[in-house]
Amino acid sequence: MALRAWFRPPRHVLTIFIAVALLSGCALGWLGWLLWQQDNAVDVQRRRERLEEAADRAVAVMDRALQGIEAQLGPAPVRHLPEGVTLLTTGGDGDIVVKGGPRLIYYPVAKGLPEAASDTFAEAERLEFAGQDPAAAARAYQALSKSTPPPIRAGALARLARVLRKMGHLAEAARTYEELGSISAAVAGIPAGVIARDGLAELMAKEHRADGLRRHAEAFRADLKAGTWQLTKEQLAFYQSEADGWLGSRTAEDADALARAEAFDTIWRDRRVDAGVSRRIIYASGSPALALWRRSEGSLDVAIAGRSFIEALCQEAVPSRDVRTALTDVEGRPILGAPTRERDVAARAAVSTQLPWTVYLSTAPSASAPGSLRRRLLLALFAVLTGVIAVGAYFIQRAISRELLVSALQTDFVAAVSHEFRSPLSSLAQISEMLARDRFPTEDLRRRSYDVLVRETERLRRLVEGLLDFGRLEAGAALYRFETFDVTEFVGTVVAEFRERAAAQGFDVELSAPKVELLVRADREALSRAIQNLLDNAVKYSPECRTVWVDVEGKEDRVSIAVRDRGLGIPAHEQRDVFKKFVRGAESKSLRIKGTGIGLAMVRHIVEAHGGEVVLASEPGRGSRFTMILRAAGEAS
Amino acid sequence: MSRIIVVEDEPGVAFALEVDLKTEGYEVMVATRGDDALELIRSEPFDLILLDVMLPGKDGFDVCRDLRRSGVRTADYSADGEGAGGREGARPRAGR
Repeated sequence: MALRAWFRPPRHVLTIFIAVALLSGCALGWLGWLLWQQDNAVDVQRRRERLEEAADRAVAVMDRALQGIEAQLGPAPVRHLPEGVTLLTTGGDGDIVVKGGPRLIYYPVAKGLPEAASDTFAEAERLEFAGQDPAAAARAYQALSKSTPPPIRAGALARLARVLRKMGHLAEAARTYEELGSISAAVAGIPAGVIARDGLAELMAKEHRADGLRRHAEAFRADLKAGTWQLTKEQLAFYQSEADGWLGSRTAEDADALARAEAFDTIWRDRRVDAGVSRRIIYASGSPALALWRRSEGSLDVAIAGRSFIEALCQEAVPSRDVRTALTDVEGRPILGAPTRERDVAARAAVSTQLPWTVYLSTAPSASAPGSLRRRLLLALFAVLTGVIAVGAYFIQRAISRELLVSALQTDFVAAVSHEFRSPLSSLAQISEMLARDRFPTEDLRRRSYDVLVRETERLRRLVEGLLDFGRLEAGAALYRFETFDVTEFVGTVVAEFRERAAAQGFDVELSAPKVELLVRADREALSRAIQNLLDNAVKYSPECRTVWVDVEGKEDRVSIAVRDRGLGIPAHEQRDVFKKFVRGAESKSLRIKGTGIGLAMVRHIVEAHGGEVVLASEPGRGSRFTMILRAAGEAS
Repeated sequence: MSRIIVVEDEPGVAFALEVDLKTEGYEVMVATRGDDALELIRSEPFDLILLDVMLPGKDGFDVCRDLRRSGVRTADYSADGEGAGGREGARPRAGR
């Protein structure tokens, strides 16, 4: 029932409006959603196209780079080798030569350095071991160390140092090792430099020179790591363990360096490798290494590159930060990054590109979507439209609610006015009828009936005039005849007139006004109506206290006329609204106090037309005070 | 002589009723407010109460309810404020 009441006119206007606003809002939202979806689809398509283009470009760049390296495999001189690429060549004699780029950490075979024949030192060694004559042996080695060919010198110095150590001549042994270190030759297949460094370290350990030993061992370890000497894997492992022993810590494993060395080792050893040019990714020590090689009769040329080169190549091939690159080898093992499972991935398989890897490109999560600006604009547009609809709906709804309220107030007003009319009319009808039927028994009663007739007629006249005045004020058609007069005297007259009427209801009006002239420029009739309305109200809303007060005051250029009562008072939340037309306080309704709700609205109209203001001070249960503040006039005209 | 109290806030209507009923030979009293009427009825006996509905303060129904609660059984005619008014609209509310 309550719901049905809601849809009854005039409230159905509001319901219809809300429905229309909601419908249009929903339609707008749906439209926006569709546009958004469409835009998204276009965006995905574009992103895909861009990825495909980037993939083609990347493959071309990578292939060109690898071809550039491959062109340098073989007898041609090294022109420009990208960073991180080691170019190696092996001749028919099995010697490995690093043509360019960083050296490998170890090689399949040690470098074939010149070495003296072992029987060169047979006589001296016989003295050293069989003869047990180290001094004689030392002399013999010393004599040999003076010879010109470096291999013999190296062999003699290494053995001399050994004998000196045995004899306890440690300082001399150290000098001998230092001399040995500068010779480019091998002793027992090991570079002289390595033997010298190892021997020196052992001397330092023997002499307990901890600081010197650490510095020496660290430098040795760094040189081993840098591939200073061409050692085999086993030699490297041995000398690294020597350095580890002196330093008391394991050499940090360089997976990339190991992978590169192992990759070369694999290619070098792989007898199946056919003649011609090949590319391959080799996994070693958990790290990928790229190997490019060319085998021709008797010679093998290899380019080895590690992870850093592959990364740099990817960077060059796919410079955009918005695109994520991943590479896998032919068996699907990740080389760089990991291929995503997203739908928008552009892949180029190794088989079709001749690259040693498969390339995957996908959009980086951080990438700014190309349509994001357009979409933001779209979103902003819809937000604005929704906002406009919402704000519009709110204001229209407010306006309709207000109109509904006014219409309800007007209905109340019509009822109130009808009642106001009926009361004097009832009296008039009844008394007129009694007079017509000659029902008054005495002359005195008949005369009193005339008084009642006069009073009720006057009441009707005032009511009609009040309504007409209000109508004129509302229509803005009220004409004021302003004149300057003394307000004290004027209020006195109005109060005196009202006092007569109020006396019939048992009310008294007390006037307090200064004895001086207070001039205002006002319309006498309008001001009189305003005061009377306030007095009417004071009497109506003062059921207990039968006195109302009127205070006139002049202060500087202001004249105030206050009407106060000790009646019901007005609650704070109603104080602003009581000046609105047709509005009556809640208590006036519950206590059935008669009135039309236009009195105070008229007072405000009139006072504002005079350039003044009405101030209300009221407290429920203690009464109200309405003060009209007007501008004082200069002098009487 | 039967005593009637007229409770009516409109002085004109009250005056007319008072004169009319007095002419018919009743003893008539007038009260303009519900509270005044209650006080009078409780202190003096009346044979009939003519009660207006639209009264300031306590309305006719409130006055009637209060009277019945305090045990007054006097017949009362409520002048229906919503009707034509006057005696035509009056309807009996309770018997003696």
